[in-house]
Amino acid sequence: MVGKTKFFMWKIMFLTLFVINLDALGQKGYFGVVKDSETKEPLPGATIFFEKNKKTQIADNQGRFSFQADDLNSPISVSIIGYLTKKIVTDIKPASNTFEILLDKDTKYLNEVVVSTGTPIQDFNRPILGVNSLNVKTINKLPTPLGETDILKGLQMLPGVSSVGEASNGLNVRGGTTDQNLILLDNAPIFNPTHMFGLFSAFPSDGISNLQLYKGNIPSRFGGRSASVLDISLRNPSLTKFKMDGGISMVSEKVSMEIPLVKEKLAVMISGRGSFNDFILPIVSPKFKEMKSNFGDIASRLFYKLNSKNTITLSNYLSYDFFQTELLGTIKNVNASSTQYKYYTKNISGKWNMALSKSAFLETIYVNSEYKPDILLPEIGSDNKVVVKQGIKYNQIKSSYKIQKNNHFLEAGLDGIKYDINPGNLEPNQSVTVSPISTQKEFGFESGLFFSDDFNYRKKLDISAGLRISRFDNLGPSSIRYYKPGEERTESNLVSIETLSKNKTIKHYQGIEPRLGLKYAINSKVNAKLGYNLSRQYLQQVSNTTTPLPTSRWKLSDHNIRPQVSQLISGGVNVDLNNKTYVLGAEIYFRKTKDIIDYVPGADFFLKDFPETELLQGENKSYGLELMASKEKGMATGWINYTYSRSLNRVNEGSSERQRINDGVYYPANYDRPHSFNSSLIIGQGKHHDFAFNFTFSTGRPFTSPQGLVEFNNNLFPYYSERNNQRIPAYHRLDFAWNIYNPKMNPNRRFKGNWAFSVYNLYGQKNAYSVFYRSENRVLNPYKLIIFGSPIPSLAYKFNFE
Amino acid sequence: MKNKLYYWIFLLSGFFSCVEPYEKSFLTSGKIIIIEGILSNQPGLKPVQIKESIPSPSGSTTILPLKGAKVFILSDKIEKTQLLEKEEGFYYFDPNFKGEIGKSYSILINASDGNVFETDAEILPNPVPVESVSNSLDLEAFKDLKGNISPGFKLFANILDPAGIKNSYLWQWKLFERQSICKSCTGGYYYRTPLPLGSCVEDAILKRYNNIFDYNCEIDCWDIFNSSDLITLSDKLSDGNLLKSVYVGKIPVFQYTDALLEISQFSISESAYDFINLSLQQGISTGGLADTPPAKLSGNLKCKTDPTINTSGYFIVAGQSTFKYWLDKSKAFNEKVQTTGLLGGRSIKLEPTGPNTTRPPLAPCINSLNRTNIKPDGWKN
Repeated sequence: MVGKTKFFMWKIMFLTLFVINLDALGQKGYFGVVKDSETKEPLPGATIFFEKNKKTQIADNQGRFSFQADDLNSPISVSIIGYLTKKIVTDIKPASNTFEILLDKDTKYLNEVVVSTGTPIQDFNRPILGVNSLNVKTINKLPTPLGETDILKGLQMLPGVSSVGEASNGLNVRGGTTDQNLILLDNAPIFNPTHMFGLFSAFPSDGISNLQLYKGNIPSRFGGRSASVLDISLRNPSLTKFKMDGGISMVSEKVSMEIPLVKEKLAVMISGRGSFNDFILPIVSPKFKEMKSNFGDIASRLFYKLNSKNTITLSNYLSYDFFQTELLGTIKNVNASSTQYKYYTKNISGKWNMALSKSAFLETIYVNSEYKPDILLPEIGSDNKVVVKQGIKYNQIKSSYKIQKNNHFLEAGLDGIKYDINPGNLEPNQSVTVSPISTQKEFGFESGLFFSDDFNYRKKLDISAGLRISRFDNLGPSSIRYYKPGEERTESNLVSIETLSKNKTIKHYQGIEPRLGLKYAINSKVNAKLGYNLSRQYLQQVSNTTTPLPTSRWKLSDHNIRPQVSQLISGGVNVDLNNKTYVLGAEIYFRKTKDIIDYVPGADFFLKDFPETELLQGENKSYGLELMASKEKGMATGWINYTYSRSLNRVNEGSSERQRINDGVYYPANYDRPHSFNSSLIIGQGKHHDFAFNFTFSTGRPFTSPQGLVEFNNNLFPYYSERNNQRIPAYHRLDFAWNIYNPKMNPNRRFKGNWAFSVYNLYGQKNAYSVFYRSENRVLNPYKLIIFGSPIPSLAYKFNFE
Repeated sequence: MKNKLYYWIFLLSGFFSCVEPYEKSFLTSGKIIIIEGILSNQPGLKPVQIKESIPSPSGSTTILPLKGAKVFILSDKIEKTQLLEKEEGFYYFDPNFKGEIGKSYSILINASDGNVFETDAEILPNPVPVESVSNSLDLEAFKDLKGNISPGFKLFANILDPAGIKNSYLWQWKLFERQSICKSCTGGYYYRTPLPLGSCVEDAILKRYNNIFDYNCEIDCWDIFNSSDLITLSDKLSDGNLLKSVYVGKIPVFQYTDALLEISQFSISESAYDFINLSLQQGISTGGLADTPPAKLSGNLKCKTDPTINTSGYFIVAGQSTFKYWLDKSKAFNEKVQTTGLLGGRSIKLEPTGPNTTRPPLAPCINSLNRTNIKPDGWKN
């Protein structure tokens, strides 16, 4: 069945190419490439404004843009943050269809420009709603705990993006769960995006060139998650010049290098970070003598310019964590001295870009990804460690064809992903206490056919129309368990079991995923947007804890667990004031997701072969209003945003108590936070230093408070009936950073050092991470757990050599 | 170096999680009927307790005994034996009554308001013997969220788990400590009359200073402590294996003299195990970074006449085996760990001797649930 699906997809692909090529005799397309005048590196995200037809384009990740013959010999202006805007005329010689635009760095205003949000102007111009681009240089300037640049914390300053708290293992986008976000680093998925159990992002920020968060309209080339896509690109190495930068903070040491190997042909970028400072912990307090934490990550990108028509990129990412703590529970059967978590991510992705003609490109990507989290339990009185192993293996091939035809920028492609999931194996090694246990592995194949067309209609209307057709096959070898329809999925309601052999389709799901974005230019300063998006999710994380553990299992859709299907409608208005100095935006959205995952009361998934007995499926509705205002230029730059949003779940699988939550009515989801406000301000003080402030406020997230007390065995226990009936206190925090650049003030030095002094949580707010109840001496006492309860000053040093 | 150390301490002291009391009351709603009891294959069963958890309009809760009910033990759903309410809410088995392995048991309650409650029937499983017990002295055995730490003896058992059967275990212990003080008087003096208990006679000066005098026992006496921990284990990961050094309890260091432990190992149903685990998860093991969403503590009691009445608690039917263990406390003595004493944490203060040679008197050792003058079986010396 898998083979037939693949063949079917390839037939559609060829048909599409054939149809497109038949019409390729129409108007000729032209391409331009925007590059840095010094390094000749492409500048992705540059804005190209065609003054004759009042159209705007954004350069792709190769710095390319396209235009038609009627835009020839007409003025265009090309701009991007950090560079001087260039106005030129598109006077391409007839023999050539491409031309190069070289932009000069704006050194006079570099700092002010760089510290802006970077790309709301670009977001302003795109027909896609709910997309945010972030400049990594901006994130570098923001204050963070212990001076560690953090991509995920930077993203939380955007509207509609939040988390459960400081120690959260992912993001919640528009009220969704963390696993509803697809996080890609150079096209390879990241299943666990944090180190040290949620305290720091797992991305080497110095190796990143840009990142885009699609939380509204998701381009049709992406599939597999229902809330958002975070697409992160590593930086391309310079083909001409060696560069090195690095730094040291309270938490980690890092270094990045760009090394030209063959001038103008082959170069590599390597960025690595390591944290081995946990030897400090026992010095701080004897309480922490058992706590250990080390992590490291390294990313590399090899760029090979084969010839003028072909480039090959090979990216690699390795991330490693070791964490030992008492705060995450343990396995009772093993008499262990501690509980340790060891997990790593190993990603390889390759991309081949081929120019088929002057107006057509073929891009083929291959990804191999592996995520392996282990739990280790060193037994007391022996050298033996009992190990629980899990893992996800992911292999993907994706190929897309892009062509400029008339006024249309078309893309069509095929995508195939193979999943291999190990939910957990218990390996006793030399232990005599526990037995080896293996859970049934899961296999699946997800395929997608996608098509998109971005075009302009009558100069005022930009349309981004896409369609994705996806299919998922859950494959054997596996056992299918059939339960009595409408009854609880328990052993007593099990009717029969069927076993299927390798590669047999156990269950398949498929459907279309339309993606539509419209932008109407009311005038040159104001535009209105409307969008519709449908996404299907076939892989979900099974975790009923406050935030998923690094070892939480992932589960494919199967006979008993249906995929999530999410539909989003959104609309918005953007206003550009004072020649792009200020950008204002307002966006509303409504999203309904079918078949979200929820859990029976007291669910336990650990080494469970049949987790469907602990799972329930329901629906979620989320809606909200996001308001944002940003200032892009001048000595002070930054943004403020306010979001009103709700996220409500309803679970009602049947009439028994175990099949419903809160009697089957809507209740606030764990990430429901009605009000949130974020503000970031960067005050430039010339070339050599600036100050940055962050302020964030949000309504406390829901928690469940008891509705009675039960006395049992001389202890008082809480009696719960309704879930998420109260809220933890509101969260608010102010951070400050003082960044000092090149204090020796010698612009000609090849080696430059920067200092960053920051205070996270400036006024020491004791924000609650959670509220819980503890039975002590026949009394039930409420407590709040606080992660960062006082101001955290830190100092970090960064250097740059080129 | 010291300044550098303080610098690190200052920087990192705010980093790690801390726990603070949270001033927020919760609104209780609806009464809850609670059952608690264990039926095993050994005689001398503790009474079944039936309670009501009653919310008040202010949000507080009162737990009161459910009195005046007619309570029966049903065997195999046929034999019906009534339990006697000797104290309010406490329903006693016949002293010679014990469960039989392989039979099913449930409790039937006819409450005085006409409601009828019943527990799910459970079969009494085979008990599993404890092979051996050991202990280790842990200087931080007891920790509370306020940062109070005290030492204790941790107990570990070796158990050979029967293969091919789902086993879940619950451990409880009973500790016998030799007691030398049989009476304490606050604000007065003890006199042997009226017999047999004697009485404390108030003295104005002693009362003003809230003085406490302790009086030695006239005969050998032992205090009895019962565990309030709920320690469980399932053989899901260890079926048929030797469960080595399984943690089964911890004992405070009351005094340096050795003591006797009766460790009871109950083989309980999977459902009882899930209930107890859920109670622990939601009441004791909370406050981690990855707590699970709370669930209703329903237990195995149901109201047959009105399903809207909330019920909780568990009537456990268990196979019981008992292991007597002599607790050698020489290590605590050698390491001079702090002891809590047997008087609730205060030191002994005897009435001083004086010209009256009949004083101070000795006090009788009165038998109760927490004290005995009968030498415990297994007591050495």
